[in-house]
Amino acid sequence: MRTSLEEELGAAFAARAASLPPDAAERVRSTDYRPRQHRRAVPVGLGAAAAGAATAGTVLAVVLGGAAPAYAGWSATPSSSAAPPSAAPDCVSTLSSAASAPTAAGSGTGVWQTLLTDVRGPFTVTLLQNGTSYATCFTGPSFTEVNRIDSPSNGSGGAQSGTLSVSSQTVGGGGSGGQAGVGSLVSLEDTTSGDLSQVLQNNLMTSADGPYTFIDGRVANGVTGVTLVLKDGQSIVASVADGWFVAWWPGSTNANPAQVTKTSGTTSEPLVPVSSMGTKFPLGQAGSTSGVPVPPPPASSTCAAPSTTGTSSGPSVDCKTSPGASSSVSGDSGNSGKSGAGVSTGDTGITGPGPTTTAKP
Amino acid sequence: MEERRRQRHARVEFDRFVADTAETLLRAAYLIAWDFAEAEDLVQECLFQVARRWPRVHKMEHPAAYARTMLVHLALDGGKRRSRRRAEIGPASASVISEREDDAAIRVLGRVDATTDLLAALGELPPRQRVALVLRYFEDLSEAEVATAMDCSLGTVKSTTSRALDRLRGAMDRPGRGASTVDDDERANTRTKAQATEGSTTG
Repeated sequence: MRTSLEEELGAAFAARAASLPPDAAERVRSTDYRPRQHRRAVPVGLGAAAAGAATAGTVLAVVLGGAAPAYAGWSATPSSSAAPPSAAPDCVSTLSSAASAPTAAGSGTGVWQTLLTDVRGPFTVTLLQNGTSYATCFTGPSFTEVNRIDSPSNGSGGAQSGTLSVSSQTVGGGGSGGQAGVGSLVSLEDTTSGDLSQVLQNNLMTSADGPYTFIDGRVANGVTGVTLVLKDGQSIVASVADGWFVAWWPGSTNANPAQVTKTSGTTSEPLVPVSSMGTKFPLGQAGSTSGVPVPPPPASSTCAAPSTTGTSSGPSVDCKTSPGASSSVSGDSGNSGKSGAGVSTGDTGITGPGPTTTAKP
Repeated sequence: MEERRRQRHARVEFDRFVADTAETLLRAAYLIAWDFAEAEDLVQECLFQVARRWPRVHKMEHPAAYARTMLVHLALDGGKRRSRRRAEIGPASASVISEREDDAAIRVLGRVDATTDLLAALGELPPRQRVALVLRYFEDLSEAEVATAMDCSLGTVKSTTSRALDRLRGAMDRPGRGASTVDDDERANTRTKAQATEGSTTG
């Protein structure tokens, strides 16, 4: 026997559920989830031969019927290729054409510049910046996808949600047919030492190979290496250059902690969610309720381009908006939320409380 | 040839599964996450996970229940991140968003009084409490089924549900809120029942 509150609850839930946009379910249905197929039985003779002569990896490939594993060829350590294959021109072209779309309001108007390139086997990730907008160009044998933190003001239902989402676009129309508008679970983190800051972990996916996790962020001066330790124990070596680090790995397991290498040695540093570093304060304000020091908001001087000792053309950072000024984080504000203030949690033109910096220092 | 036929069959079965369950999952996800885009993300992630395990899942007696459990786990795992993002956009803005969504729900229901307060209060519940209520009162699952889906004990389900209901009552009784349609006797009875449940769970 239900109470009237319980009855009311059922009715309220039903009413809210009925307010879902009619096309939402269709969007979910139309995604290509690529179900795994039945496993093929291993012929006895072949299985025995494999067991006798081959490595475990080879046996696994046979058991799986020869199907290529997701992100085949990926490695936990980036390749040290001096001249990585670049799909950046295609990506830049795609980004530039998307910049005129309504959802791209607020994006930079200059040229997309390469901040850092990470090569793992046949896969290349290029981190790009245009003013206050950031994008990644992810290329593999069968796909080239451009991802950026974006504002689906019409699209995947994000208009009312205040949810940070990543739009994805396949370049060239061929290959895997990446799906546009794939959502992203994002966490914004720092290390308390400040060695790593503005760390953003994105759980993304390509329709060709399924989920992958992408992480990028700033490294402090003196940091020469970053290794991410996944929650399943796997270690991923990040690419580090020019004050940035980037890494990615197949699957949706997040990383924590990070092993940070400096000249003084390597330390393991937990990645701490930014919002828990000053829970009672508007993001971006100094202060702490938990004894954990909160880094001060970036000063305007941090908008200056970092000392460029690497090979890239060097980030050209647009510092038009000074910290403390209220700025619109609507639209594709890129990773501007990583400033820790006015985090771009949405696409609704909503700015968080506290000072806001749209530029990634 | 036989292999290819089997693969095609599996694909057709999975597509049918998605067609049948997507909307149900999406509604549940929407009520759990209380957010359109989060709900879509959750369901897509859930279906990707099911797709990866499809050879095993399709042999289950209730693949849809498995998918729902997967959805609940994903929602609870991501609950903290969602709470954080809501905090980041600020209470005032979040409230505007919720109000907009709740208006839509109220229009569908055609009632404005108590439902307004109830929806507002539901939106403020912690994810775990809302999951328990959604599974119990929207999905109409038994407490045992809720426990299975949430991967917790029956006692935890009872206490979580009880605390959530108490919180809703408290929110609806707050000054400035619209009058609840729940009368005082009803409140007292339910509160006593909840306390008894709480006592039996903790005792």
